[in-house]
Parts: sequence; C-alpha cells; structure tokens
Amino acid sequence: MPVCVSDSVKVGCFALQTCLNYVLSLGIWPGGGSSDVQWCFSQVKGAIDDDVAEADIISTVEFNHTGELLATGDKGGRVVIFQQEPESKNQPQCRGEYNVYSTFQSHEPEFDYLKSLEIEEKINKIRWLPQKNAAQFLLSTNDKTIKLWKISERDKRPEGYNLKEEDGRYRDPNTVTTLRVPIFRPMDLMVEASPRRVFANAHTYHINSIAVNSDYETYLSADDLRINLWHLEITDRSFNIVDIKPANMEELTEVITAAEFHPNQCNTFVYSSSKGTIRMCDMRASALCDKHAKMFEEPEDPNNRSFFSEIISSISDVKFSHSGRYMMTRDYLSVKIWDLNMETRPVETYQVHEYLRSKLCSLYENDCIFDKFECCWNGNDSVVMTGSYNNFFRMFDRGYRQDVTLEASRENSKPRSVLKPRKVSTGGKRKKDEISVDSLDFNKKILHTAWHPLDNIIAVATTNNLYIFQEKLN
Amino acid sequence: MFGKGAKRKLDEDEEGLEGKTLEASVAGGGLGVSPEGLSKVSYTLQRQTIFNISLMKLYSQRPLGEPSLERRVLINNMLRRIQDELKQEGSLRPLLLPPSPPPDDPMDEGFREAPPSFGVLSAAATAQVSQPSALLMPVIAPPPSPHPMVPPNCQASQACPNRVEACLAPMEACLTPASLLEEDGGDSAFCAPSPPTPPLSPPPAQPPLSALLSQASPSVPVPVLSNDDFPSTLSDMELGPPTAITRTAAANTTTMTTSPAPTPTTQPPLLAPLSPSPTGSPRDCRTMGAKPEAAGVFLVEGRCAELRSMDTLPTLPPGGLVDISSSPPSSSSPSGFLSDLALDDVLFADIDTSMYDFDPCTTAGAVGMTAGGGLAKLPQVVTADDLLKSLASPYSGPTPQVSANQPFKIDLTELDHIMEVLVGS
Repeated sequence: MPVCVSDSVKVGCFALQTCLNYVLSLGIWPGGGSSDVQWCFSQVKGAIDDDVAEADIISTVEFNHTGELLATGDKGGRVVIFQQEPESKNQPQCRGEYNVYSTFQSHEPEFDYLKSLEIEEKINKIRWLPQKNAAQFLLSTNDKTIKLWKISERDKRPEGYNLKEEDGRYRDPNTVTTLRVPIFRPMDLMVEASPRRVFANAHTYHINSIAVNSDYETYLSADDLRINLWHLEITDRSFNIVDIKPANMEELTEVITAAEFHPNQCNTFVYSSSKGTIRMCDMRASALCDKHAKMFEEPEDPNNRSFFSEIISSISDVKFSHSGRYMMTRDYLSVKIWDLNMETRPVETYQVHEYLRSKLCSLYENDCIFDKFECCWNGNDSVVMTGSYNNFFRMFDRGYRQDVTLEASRENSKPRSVLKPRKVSTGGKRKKDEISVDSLDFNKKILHTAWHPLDNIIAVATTNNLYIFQEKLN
Repeated sequence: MFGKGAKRKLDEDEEGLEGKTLEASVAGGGLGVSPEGLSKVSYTLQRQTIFNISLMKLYSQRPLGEPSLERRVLINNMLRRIQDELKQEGSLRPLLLPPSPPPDDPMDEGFREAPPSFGVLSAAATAQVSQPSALLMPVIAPPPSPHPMVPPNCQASQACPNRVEACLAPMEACLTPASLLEEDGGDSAFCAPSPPTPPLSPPPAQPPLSALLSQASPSVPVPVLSNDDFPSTLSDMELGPPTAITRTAAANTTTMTTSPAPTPTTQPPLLAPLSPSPTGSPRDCRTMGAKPEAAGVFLVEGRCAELRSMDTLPTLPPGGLVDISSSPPSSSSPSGFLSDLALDDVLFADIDTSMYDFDPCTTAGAVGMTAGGGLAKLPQVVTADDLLKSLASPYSGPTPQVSANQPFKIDLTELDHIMEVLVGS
C-alpha cells in the first residue's frame, strides 16, 4: 500500500510550526525579549513606619544616563542620590545594590511676599546632565526655581602645608624652619553637592517640567502657561518659547502639563495639555513656538463620554522613546504610544486601570482624579511602565502585547523574592488572590517610577518609600 | 457592578447610589445625551452632584499654598460645561452680558474662575422642570406660590440687573438669594457668565456659593454637617430652601455659612464674608422649608456617604477663587457691581426666596430618589399663606411668564389674588 509519506510529513511540519508559533506568542520561550522577565525585590529605602512625615513624600525619581546613580527628590526639598555598588566578583549575576551616595537640601521653602503665598520646597523634577568630567551634574526644580547642582567626590586631601598646621591653624612664620611640598593623601570618600547655578524668577506659575536638550547646552522649563528656554551657563535670562496665557485670564481653559525635548533633535520639543493634546514644536520655525508644528490628539470615544472626559484626558506625563521615534503619554486611565509621524491617533493604547472608570465621581470627590502619574520606557523601548493605586504598578510589553501588575509592598520584600503578578477583579465574582476594586487603597499611589537605561532595574516610589526591583537572573 | 439579582452588599451602599446613578447616566450616554425617563433623572442628579462638588472644590482653599492652576481650570471647565448643558436643556433666554468686572489688577496673574451664574442654577431648576414627569404634578400641590416657578426667562433677568424691574417676579423664582444681594459680594450673583466669556468678578466667594449651593441643592443637597445647625426634625424647618446646606467650617480659615438664602429679611448678613457666622446658621435652618426637606434629608443621607470623604468645607478665602494677590478682599465689593446693583438691593431687600420649595429640582430629586432608593416622603405643600408671609415687597412687574412645558401650572388667579393683597397692604 503506498503511503503518502510526503503529505504526512508536511502535516507534521506544519503542526510543529504552529506549535512553535504558539509557544513564541506565549512569550515563554527562553531568551525571548522582556516578556519573560521576572521581577524580584531588591531593596527598599525609606522609613518603615506607617506614619508618613510629609517631608518624606517622594516627589520625583530619576536614573542618570549610565544608571549608576539614582536620584530622588522629596516634598521637603531634599535630594537623595543612591549609587550602585559595582558588581561583586562573588556574585557576578547579581547586580549591585544602591546605597546612599549623597544627600543635600536642594530647595528651601520660600514666601512670596507679593502674593502672600508660600512657595513649596517640594522637588518637582530632577534631570541629570550627561557626565563630562569627574563630577556629576543635575538640575532640580521646585515650583519656581531651578538649580544646577554639582556633585563631586573628594577622596584625597592635601597634607603638609608649610604655613598651616594639620588642623588648619596658621603657624607662626617664625617657627618655620624647613620647607616641604604638600602632597595629597587619600581620605574617606566625601561627596559634596554644591549649587552651581540658580535659575530663578522666570516663572509666574508652577513649574511642572524641566528637560535637558540633546545639545547639552540648553534646557527648557515649563509651567502651567509658559515654557522657557535656558542656557545652562546663563542664569539671568531665559527665552520664552511657548506662551498660552490668554489675554483675559477668565478665558483660560487649558494649561500645559508636561514638556520634553526630543532625544536626538535639538530643535524639537513637545508639550502636553490638560485637554489631552500634545503639541510638537520646532524651534527653528520661530522664536515663539506658539504655533505648533504638529498636534497629536485622539478623538474622543463617544461610548466613553462622561462628565469627567476632559479631566481624565488631561495628560500627566509625556516621554519620548529612547529611539526618538515614539512618544508616550499618560492620562488618568491609560498610557498611549504615539508615532511622531502620525498625529491623528496613538499607535498603541494600554489601559492602566480601566476598572476605575465607573468610580470617576468618587475619585473626583476625593481629588484622586487629579493625581499625576508618570510613565517610563525601558532601555530598548520595548516595555513601558506606569504606576497605579494600592501601590500597584503596571508594565506593558509592546512586542508581546502582555501586561503585568505588580505590587510594591513590604510584604514582598524578602531579598530576591519574585514578585507575584496581582490582579484586580472587576466582575462580581472575585477569584482567590484577586483584589476587588472597592478594596483598593487610593492613598497608596505610585506616581513616580524610573527604569534603568541599560538594565532591567526599576525604581518605584510609593508615598515615602523607594523600592528597587531587579530582573531575576539565574 | 451588580449582577442580575445580585444582592447589594452593605459595604457597597456607598457606591450603590453612585454606581446606579453612574450606570444610568453612562447607559444614557452621559454628557450630551438625553436618556429616557428614570435614567434622565439620575443623570440630572449626578450632574447636580458634580456641580456641587465642583463648587465646593473651587471654594475650599489650602491655607498657605497656591492651589494648582490645572486643577482649578479643570474644575472650572466642568462647571462651565454643566452650565452650558443646563442652558441648552432649559432653552433659556440667552444670558445677557454681565456688568463689566472690575478692572484687571495689573498684578493679576491669577485665574478667576467663572462662578456659575444663578441663571444656571435656575436653569437647572428649569431643566428639571421641563421634564415631562407627571409624577411631579401631584407633588407640588396647589396653591402654588405666586412665585412663578422658575420660568426660563428668569435667568436672563438675573443676568442683567438692569432688567430687574421687568422680571421681578421671575427673579424671585429664579432663586436668587436676595439676601445675597445685600452682601458685598452678592452683586456678583447677578452676573451670569455668558458661555463664551466667563466673566465674573473676583469675589465669587460666598454669595454665589451659597446661592449656588442652595439652588443646586434642591436635587442633591450637600449634607448638613454642622450638628448644631441642622435641625433634626423637619418641624423645625420653616419655609425656605429645603436643602439645608449649612456647613459650618470649624477650620482655622475663614468660614462661611452656606445656607440657602431664604429669608433675607430675617437674616440680613446672611453671609459674613470674612468671619464665621455660626450663629447665622440656626436662623437659616429655621427658615428652611420642610417639604423638600424630606427629600433633602434623604438625599443628604444618601449623599452623606459620598460626601463624607469630601475635603474641607467651603471656606472662602478672602480673595475668593482668584489668586489671592490679585483679588480684592471679598469684603470690598467690586465697584463695578455695586453701582449697577444698588437699585436691586433695594428692590430685593425683602424678597424671600423660600419659594425654592416648589423648585422642581427638589421634586425631581425626590422622584429620582424614589426610583433609586425608595423615598417615601414627598415634599410638603407650601401654602399661599406661607408665601404671603415671605413676600414683603410690592409685587411689581408683569405677570411672570411660565414656560409651557412646566409640569405644574401657576394658577394665575392665585397670583392675582396675592398681588392684590400685597398691593393693598
């Protein structure tokens, strides 16, 4: 009996291919992108007790360009910089821990006598400058003033002065009988932070963003109605490049919520608004960039219209991808990825906590609807991350179309313990281990997250604690 | 949220009302869509709630820091949108431009929220009125007040103080707390922002707030949280807006007693702009109407859960909503308004706006509550005697116009009768 061997082989191959595709799509193929990343707890910084001191509330988190340094700003105007320990030879697979490198008071509370208003010292944003020499530089800003800080190390000190004793007292010249050349001797490492520039008095409204240009010479600062361009060396003047203040303030209906420079094109920047629009401007076009070059806006979904449509469309954060091809925006309920070449709608939309849509009225009442969540890209732009309530944070894998919800809590804080994905139950029936929407703690919100530019290390800020999670390595 | 036949859990009661309301409104398409029947009422209810909440948010201010501009802008936009919607629904006469606000303070960098006009509130009332709900009919039993029930055109008269004479009667029904007019900032109450230009003067502070609250409250009152003020029994209530929205803030910031401005005659300084006036509240409460009180109370209970978590009571900063630096203290009225409204003060000095009682909003709310929560009590009837008591000033002006689609008709003979009585006295 002739057997159609060839056909059966074909079928067999086809079946194998299908299986392979299926397995790949699940993302469990070893070595496949970031979809198979498992996150483990690494460290937590901050006070343990539940009583949160207001000054300890973390208000911004930022890795530097190499990822070696991690800066946090808090409501008390302090900046704390953590440094990653070099990988130990004993545990080559375990990435170094972050330990405190420097702490300094960046901003102090001020009082605006003219308006009889207090100016908060809360650090709104920190942006690192790329390292050019031994010292590190960062920009930190509160509502009104931006400061350029130089963080330098000192691990040697001169000894052997002729005219000074070792403790600094001056010697009587008459007692000097010999001369010697002072030499440098090693000392304990001392990290000093000194303010090198203070950029003040340029903003009438509250600064919400600062962004360093790719030319590393200029940067922008954005408040509710205006965006100014600064030169890093010049503090006594800045250029106003965007001004949306209406002639009659009573006609004001839209404010600027975030601004960012393009990572590669030093003439391009974007700013987002409270109405859910993003405007991209080209500084070559004119000095005042009130006319946008592109405007990104997604038409409203008529099915989801409600009283709160406008409020939840307000964009709280905008971030360019590292490649410069895409940008990500965060509004109250979703994260959207935009292709810079397409203004009509985002190319990807991820729902962060859609189950809150039916709760908008309550969230409006308790002001949670105004929470400003940030978002961030991973190093190769394949995964985006943002925070949510109940100390949950969410990651969306763009390639594998997967998402995961993780929790930053002290209960999961055993070293190198793998984080278990969390789930919020939206239906009537709550499965085991799921949390119902009504049990969510809206006081525990993760607004600030940061992703190491090169590795799978993330920093997640709860109210007053900073969690560092790392990828599980075998 | 609730499956078919699923029993609502006790701890979800807080969300129950909202959930149902929201579901209804969402089902109805939310903003801009007209759901039918019951969901329309819930929609209106929710809109009113949001309106109130927005007002409270705008008027409560953190002690030292400058409030976020974005937040204020978003809340203000919300209020304006609701205003616009109400105007459309009520098919009101277009609002006249308000008197020009005081000249801009050159130092002014502040953003002035447009306090929703009273017209809006009356529009809200009117909108409710225009619901073709036969249920409302029996609720409002005659004799109806001589106050025209929220005629649509009253709003315009509110908008333009100059037209007060022509629309005196409608004005009253439009629930302008006349007592507010006596207040310094009360003048701004007359200024209705026309949709494109929100306008108003800085101290949108208390008077508008109280008026607005009292107006808005008929359907969804803010719960009375001040224990000593809120009478426990309805019998304590006399005429007046049922919605006893009296909240006395014990905060260290300036407090304001927001109360429906029912009896200007009995309580001249209804609102003390810069000083707490807890003593005012009992008086307010006393004058509150009992009828809608039932609805008010029920709604209060229903809303209490929601609003328990509400933030600070409406405390009006000296500068009102405006940037503190830029706004003149609310105690000094914007001169622009005063001159325009001096006459109105005189005219309205004695007007009692307790005719709130007939505000269809209340009944709509009651109906809504019935649907939603099984409210048993219906608002009481306000007799003509009560009305007469409250009316002190001569009733000058043409017969109030009543919009045809109002569920309850004003008995013109009643009106004439009352007018005769007034004129005669």
